[in-house]
Amino acid sequence: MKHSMKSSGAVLRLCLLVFAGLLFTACDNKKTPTVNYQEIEAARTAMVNWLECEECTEGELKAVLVHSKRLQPMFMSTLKKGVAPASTELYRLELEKRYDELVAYSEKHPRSKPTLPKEKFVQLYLDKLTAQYQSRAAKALAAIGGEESKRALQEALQTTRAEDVKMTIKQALEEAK
Amino acid sequence: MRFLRFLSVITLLACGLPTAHALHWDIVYRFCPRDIIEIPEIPIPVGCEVVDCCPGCPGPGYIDWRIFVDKTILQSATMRLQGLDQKSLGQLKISGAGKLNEKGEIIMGAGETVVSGLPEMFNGAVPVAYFKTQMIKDIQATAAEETDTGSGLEVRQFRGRFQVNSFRYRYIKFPCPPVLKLDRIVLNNNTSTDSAIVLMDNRTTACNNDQIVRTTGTAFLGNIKSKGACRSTVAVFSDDNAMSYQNNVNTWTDNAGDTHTVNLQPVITVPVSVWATTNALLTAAQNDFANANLLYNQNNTGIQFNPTYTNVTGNNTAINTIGTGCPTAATVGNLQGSAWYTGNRLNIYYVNSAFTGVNCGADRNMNFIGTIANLGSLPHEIGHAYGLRPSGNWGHVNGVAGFGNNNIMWGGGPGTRNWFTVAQTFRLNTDTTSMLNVNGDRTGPTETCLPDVSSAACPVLTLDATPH
Repeated sequence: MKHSMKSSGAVLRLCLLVFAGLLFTACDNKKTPTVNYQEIEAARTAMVNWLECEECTEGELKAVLVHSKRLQPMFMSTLKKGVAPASTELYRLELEKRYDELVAYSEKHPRSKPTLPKEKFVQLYLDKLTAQYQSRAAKALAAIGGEESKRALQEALQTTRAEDVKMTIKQALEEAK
Repeated sequence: MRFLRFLSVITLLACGLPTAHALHWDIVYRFCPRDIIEIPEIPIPVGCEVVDCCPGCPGPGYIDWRIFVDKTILQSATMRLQGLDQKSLGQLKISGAGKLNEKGEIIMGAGETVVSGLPEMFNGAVPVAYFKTQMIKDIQATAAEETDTGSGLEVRQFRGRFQVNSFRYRYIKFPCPPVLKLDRIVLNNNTSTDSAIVLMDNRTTACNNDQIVRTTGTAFLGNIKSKGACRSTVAVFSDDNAMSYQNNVNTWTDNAGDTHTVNLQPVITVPVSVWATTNALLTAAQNDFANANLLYNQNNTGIQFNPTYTNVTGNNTAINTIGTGCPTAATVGNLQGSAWYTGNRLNIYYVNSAFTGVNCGADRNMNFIGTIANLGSLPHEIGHAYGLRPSGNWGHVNGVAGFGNNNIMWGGGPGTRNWFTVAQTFRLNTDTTSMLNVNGDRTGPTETCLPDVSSAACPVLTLDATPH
């Protein structure tokens, strides 16, 4: 019993030492400045703002280019895979809710009756969101330039089915530095 | 594994976090506590906002949530996780102000709760948390609180120390006007008998600017005095009625007992010409307009659209004349003089090009909607046509204090954004440059109010009252 208590105490002390070391290492950005979390978040924010901008007249693409090295692989993934599952799920839930609102509202306001059944309404706007993200990713890669960007665009041109996205990728390939 | 997750949470809490962040939803509601309604359940999915989560993010793994419940507004929040079984719920690590109850819900008091170990997918589906918030009892507001405190409920999602998603719901209180039964405003013909928003400038002991009261029929006021040197206006915003704006009200006397009557008029039905260059775009246009009509009425603009659709699919002359974007000042005459333009009304061109939308500078009656437009694009572009421009002068409200990305004039954000403030609705209707007035769809007093100008005549753009 004494022996097991001694060894469990030793294990606890070892764990606390390891934890203290992890804490020190994780917090001590000055000595090992390999991860700048604020810059990473700024890059992610710039990416989202570009993917989602409406008229994109406020320097959203320029803001992305400040982080080109970090964001190039992200845009390559977005070009290939489109929208993240969590964002797709949220939009799907909101579109379903909006559809139900439209149907209820249109009982007294016929001009607001949707012309599609619910599933097709939801899919229409989900597809548009995917096309938006992929088109914006293509444009970003064209602006970032380089061989990797061009390769990603060429691969996407072979696999993309949406005609509007295809047109954007073709244009991006022409413009890519 | 659970111990290591615990360590990562402690490290996350101890070492500070990035400050600026992209928000998937950043919603703002401004309200007088007397008018508060039940806050609907808030869905938040588990997972990253974008594919691959963030530059340099570690590979697939668990997500940790940091949840803030602001004690100045909320006493608690209840989180119900849909999509996880009891075993998975039991494996979550909850620390801070939250506890798992016997129903599998996480009950959180005011303060911070950390929920770690959330899976991004479970049985092939994304788990979704539903939040129900409870406001503090006897909630009051002072004038000093009518600023964007930036608080309410906030959920930040992390993979390790990397932030990968974020949601924020902010509630901004303003003081309710006192209920004194001295003078009154009576609304006639309130079609939907909704709680209309009455916005007033008047004089009591001093000049009052932008007072808001709510009523379905009769609003009781203090003793509003004769205007003297003050502005005296009454504006009424109501579902299914046109906005009423009287900018020189002479009803008020220095005595109590005055009654000012507002005869609300039917909603303004605006004819719109819609030109669709493919069959798929025609379908998109029809559903976009259904949504635009819902949002413009829900936000009490008093405007409904009556679109006439023309399908020019296969008509190469039409398609080439219309083009795929706004004409310049030099070329706008070509489209204006063509068979595919109707003068003195909004023209919306749905074109086969991958962009969202644009309202044309050369002719504000021209708007182009592209193939990647979202549900919010059409109401947004019409907002520009109706005076909420230029973008740089708060025609876009991105980053403007007091606005969230649920606002229709956010230059981006979620496609289901659905909110105009009362002040934006005021400008849609009354601004001299709004095509609603330029086209003669509305006749009535106008003002010159750039979005970022607030003055005696122009309410500050954030002026608002919930519910709409």
